Amino acid sequence: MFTPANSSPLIIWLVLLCPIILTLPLIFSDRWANRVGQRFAGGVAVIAACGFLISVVVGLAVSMNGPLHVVLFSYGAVGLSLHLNTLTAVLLMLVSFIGAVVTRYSVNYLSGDDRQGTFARWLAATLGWVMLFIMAGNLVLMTVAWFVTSLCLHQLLTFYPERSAAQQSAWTKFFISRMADLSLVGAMILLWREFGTLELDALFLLAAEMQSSGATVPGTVVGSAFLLILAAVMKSAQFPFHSWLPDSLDSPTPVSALMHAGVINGGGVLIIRLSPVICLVPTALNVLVLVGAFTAVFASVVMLTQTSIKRSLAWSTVSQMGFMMLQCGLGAFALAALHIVGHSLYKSYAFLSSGSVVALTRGAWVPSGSPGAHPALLFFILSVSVSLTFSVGYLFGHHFTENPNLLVLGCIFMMALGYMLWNLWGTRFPVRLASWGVVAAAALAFSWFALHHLAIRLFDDSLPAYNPARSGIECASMIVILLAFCGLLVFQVCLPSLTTHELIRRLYVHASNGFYFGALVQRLHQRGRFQVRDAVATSSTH
Amino acid sequence: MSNEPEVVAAGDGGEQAIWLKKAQAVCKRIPPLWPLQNFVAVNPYLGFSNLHFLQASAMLEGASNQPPLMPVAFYQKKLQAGRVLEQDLEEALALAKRQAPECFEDLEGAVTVTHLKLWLNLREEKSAPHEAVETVAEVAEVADRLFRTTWAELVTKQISKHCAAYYDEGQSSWRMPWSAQSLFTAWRESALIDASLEVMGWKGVRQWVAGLPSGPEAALEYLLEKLKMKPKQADAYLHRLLLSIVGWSGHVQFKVRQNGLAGFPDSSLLQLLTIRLAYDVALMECWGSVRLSQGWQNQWSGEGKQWLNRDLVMHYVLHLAGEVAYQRQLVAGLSQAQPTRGQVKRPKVQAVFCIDVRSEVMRRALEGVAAETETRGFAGFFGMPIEYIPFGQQHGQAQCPVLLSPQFKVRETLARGDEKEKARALANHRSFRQFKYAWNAFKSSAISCFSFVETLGIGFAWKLFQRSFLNHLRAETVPVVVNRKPNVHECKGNHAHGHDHHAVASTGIALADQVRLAKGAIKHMGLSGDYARLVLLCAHGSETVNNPFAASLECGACGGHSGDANARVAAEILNQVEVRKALAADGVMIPSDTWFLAGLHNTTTDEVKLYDLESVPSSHVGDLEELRATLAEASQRVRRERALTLGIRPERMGVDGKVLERAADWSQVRPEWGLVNNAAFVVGPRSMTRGLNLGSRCFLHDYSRELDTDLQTLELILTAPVIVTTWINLQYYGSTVNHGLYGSGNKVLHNVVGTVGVCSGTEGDLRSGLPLQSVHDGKDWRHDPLRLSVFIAASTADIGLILEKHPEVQQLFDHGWIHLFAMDAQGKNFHRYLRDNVWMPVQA
Repeated sequence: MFTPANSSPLIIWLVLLCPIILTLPLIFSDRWANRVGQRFAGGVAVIAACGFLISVVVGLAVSMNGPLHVVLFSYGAVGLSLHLNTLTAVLLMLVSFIGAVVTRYSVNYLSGDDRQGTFARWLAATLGWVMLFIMAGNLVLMTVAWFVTSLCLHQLLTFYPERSAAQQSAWTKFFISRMADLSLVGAMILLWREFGTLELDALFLLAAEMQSSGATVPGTVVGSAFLLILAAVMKSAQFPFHSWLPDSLDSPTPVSALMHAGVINGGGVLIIRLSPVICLVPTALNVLVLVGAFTAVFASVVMLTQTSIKRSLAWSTVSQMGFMMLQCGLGAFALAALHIVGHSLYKSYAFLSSGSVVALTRGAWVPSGSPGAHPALLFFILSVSVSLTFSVGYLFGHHFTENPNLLVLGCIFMMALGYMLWNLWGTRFPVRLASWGVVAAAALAFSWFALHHLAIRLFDDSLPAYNPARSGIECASMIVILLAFCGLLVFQVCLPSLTTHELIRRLYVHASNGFYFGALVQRLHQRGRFQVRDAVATSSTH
Repeated sequence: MSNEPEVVAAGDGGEQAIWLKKAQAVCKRIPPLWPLQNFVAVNPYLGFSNLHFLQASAMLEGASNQPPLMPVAFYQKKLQAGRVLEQDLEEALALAKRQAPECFEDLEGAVTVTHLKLWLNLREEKSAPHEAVETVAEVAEVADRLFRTTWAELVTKQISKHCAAYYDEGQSSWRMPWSAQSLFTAWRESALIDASLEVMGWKGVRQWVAGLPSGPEAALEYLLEKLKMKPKQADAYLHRLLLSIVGWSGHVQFKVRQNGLAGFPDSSLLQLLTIRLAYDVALMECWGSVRLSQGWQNQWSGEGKQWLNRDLVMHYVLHLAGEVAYQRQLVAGLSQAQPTRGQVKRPKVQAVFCIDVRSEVMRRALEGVAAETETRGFAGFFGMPIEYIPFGQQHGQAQCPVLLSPQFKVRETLARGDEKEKARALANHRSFRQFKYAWNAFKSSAISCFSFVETLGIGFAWKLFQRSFLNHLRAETVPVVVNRKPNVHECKGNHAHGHDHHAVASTGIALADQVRLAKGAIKHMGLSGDYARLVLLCAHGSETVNNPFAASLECGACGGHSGDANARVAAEILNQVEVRKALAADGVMIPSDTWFLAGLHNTTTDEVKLYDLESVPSSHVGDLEELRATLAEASQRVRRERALTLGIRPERMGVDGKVLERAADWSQVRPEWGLVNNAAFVVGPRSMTRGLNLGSRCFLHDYSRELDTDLQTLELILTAPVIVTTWINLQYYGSTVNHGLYGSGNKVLHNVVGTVGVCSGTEGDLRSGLPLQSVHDGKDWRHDPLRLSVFIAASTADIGLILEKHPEVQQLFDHGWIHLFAMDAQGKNFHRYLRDNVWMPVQA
């Protein structure tokens, strides 16, 4: 029903090859794969590396020829169509790179495991279907890919079936994912009824038309936007659907790396990909802002209390996803995409190298005594971070007053700079560190703005411009969010001196338990298992 | 902590004292678990030294259902493969009867070889999995059985969560607020707030905790009374409780041990036991029901099983037969030793290696490459009990066996450069570390982590690429330590660092002490007369990345660290003119053309690195070049030999590269096999073992009875290296036979907790011992669990004399934790130690 814009079938077949070759290992029987074991895993690693190379080629092609949308097959709403633009190309490269690294890692890491073949099969399949999800040009295909990815990942999460904790968190995730699937299907039906197509580029054109016509947005679209957001919030482990993620560490480390870097982003990718539709309903985005900001603050406070490396990383993922959702909600989709890229690369590295933490702490410097807070120093830090952020920002041509999004995000960046400098200068303040600090802060500010600039330019053609007039309530909520982050900064800075305070002690205990969401889920699981419960004499032993 | 009991005990007679004594006795059975930073091998059966191996086995089976023996099928396989012969079975049976007659007394039915075989066949027929043995159960377990709950797991999780927060050494940035209080008080405070259990349906737990006595001793008694515990039952039950959290118990035991050594009595382990007990009672009172308390009481109704039974004894004899078989082969090998070379020519090089089993391969290769090389075995810290403080830091790690405490602090300093340069380097270094600290804060704080991934996240693409596809370059991991060396001379009270206001006053080793150390080292190394022109003191260390258990591959004699600092300090001292003079005055003549050289054997790559070459005199440059060539060739030989065990085909090209790659591979779970398969400790002249392929299974210590006129060296060997090797041996042993209890499980699930230990997956108890991948290759156990056989080239009378002086060592031999043999220096006249200083001749 749609003619290819810039037909270049070779590239299309090439990119379609990625999910196909990555699903190929599933053809082989489990038994054979396990007998060959490490060599099978080696083969899978080679395939994944090929997938990455293909993605690079596709990326180059897209950057030269511009975006393209190809329908290979269609029947009613269903269609096998691919949509390639700079955004999908970048995400493809990202995911396939993580995939190449993770499969390579698994070759030696799981060596000797008698189910290494099984592991490699499902790892490859998960990867292949994530890639299909990203390149899909049709909402039905997207939904199917997202569903299959989740099923493949489930195999990996329950790779050691005898581990009850793995089972529990995997099934919790399974349940939440199916709810997300349902909301996605609901959104799909509503969009089909409204627009009569589920091809993404057609959808986007119609949505743009609707936007420019200025007509009131019909209820179906409003409903679908909310359903999409609900699906994304569930998939990306946002509050209150987050508790399974920090509890899902009972599978091999590469699974965590892939999940935290390649799969958990799914919700964010969904929002960013469908942003032209969702932008029609600012209220939905405002809800996303609140959910994202709350998750970010909530999870990062919990993260501070965690005592094991992998659990800290997992809580940090929850909060990073929250921040990414916040950016989406503000309409800063390009920045959200940048956030996904940066976070994925960092988090997969952090997981894969989590065994190094012992060596890293050996001989690490610990400040003697708590950092002082001389007013002059505080003023200096404040002035350095404020002046750097704004001057570099203007250098890149940003006008903060016209763009409240950037103002909010810029302020958060400014606080981060301030926190870094405070840690650097708080205890000892030799002259050489003054210059190191200023140089480092300047470099950070420069790279932050440069990358943002790059992301906005790069994804310009893939994303809608969204900068609606903000109502009073929206401005107020932005201020509230800024205040929340400010509070977070003050809290972290004052933490050492606060710990003895009674209220903070209570907060510590509750936070270290993740505010009991995990326990609640566990209770539900346990209830499912209760068959005999002697309720008569609960208190008889008192 | 211990101020309340006096008050209570006054009113309550001996009751509390009895409970306390019982609990303390049970606490003694828990072995300490060292933190990962300096993960030292520990004998997991340390608390059972006062019992015979068989009695301890019975006790462990009673408390955990896991005797410290392999499954019967394992031994059957050995028998079928002919690795254990029938004669070994006979000998093992006779030996067991002579060594532990008391264990054979009350058995139902006789034990003979015929019976043993019958029993084996019977086992074969009903090869069904080990029938579930009724052991003592905790309340939580009883509940789980009756109601299909998961309380035991939950309780372990709760306690682990608390301990992890209390003992965290750097993971969380928001620390537990009660870490200054005692473990019990801290637990009590947080349990008063923590609502997890109530969410899970334990009604009113927090109120229940508020009603607990505030002192741990009083609480212990209170809780045991609530359970209506009888003194007779308490022992197994309390032991079981601690075993249910064996990892954290071990960590707490480590803290208790450290505090004890420093002179502070510490009752933390008792407090932990009380905490564990509190959960059991809380379950009963806040969740439980009549059925639960009945189920709980029912388990005490029977007479209780006799754990030291015929099955266990048979099983033990079977195990012993495997050890007897190995000893038979080793004795045969040793007795073929060539007599000592009559004409003692001056060797070209003397190389002193650590007693570690991995040195055996290297020594064999070195002697094979250059026949005129003499190698020796000595404890790898070279008699230098130091704390080595890295450049620019305040504290260092103890670089000596854990049985000793370091006597000297040695700082690392610049090898070249004047005071000004040093001060600048120091300031730079400290600023850099401080900068790194701020950088880490930027990376991991709640406020800045978002900006971190946006600015620097992309940079990790390169790191991922490098680690995944460029690890053969091995650039990152080779430490860039140039221009650093130990500063031996910075002496007590010498404030050399005027700029360093934190400087510790007492670092360095005074000349008199240097002379004393040098003398001890020379004497115990057994160097005498014919010194070579070059004496290489070769320590060892391992090079791995991304490996939480890296320290388990390092030198045990150096406290779980690489031994290069010790070797360098020793060489530096021994090369000093003043020291040499003082030694000569004492009658220890070292030729003036002898130069001591420090080296490090990298056990992962088998490279040998030499240190401080700039100070080697020009007269020795030729010798040095020759040594380097020899070492390079020997390294290659060793790699080829080890390649087989690593699954690399030695005949293929690029073996070296493949072995080297493992050291830098972040995904490698088996960088090397460590001390796997260790089985014997030979104390005697190298002439007895030279030319024998001992297959990297033997610790080797040089010893010559003629030089040891006052038996001081023998005493030292029996009280230090023998203990260290036993700890290593039993660590591997325990991690193999009781992997669930004393092994740390699958590496791919490991999650580092508080930087001190690992747990499996999300949360749960700390794991102790070695990971599965260290002793198992996926198909089979790589470690053959045999108790250590010590062979000493000295007379039975000499050894007996020393043992009498050290009953704590003797009991290890008496109770079957170690085998002991005496022999003469020609490798003839073997005698086996039975018990109580009774020996039995062995037919070679």
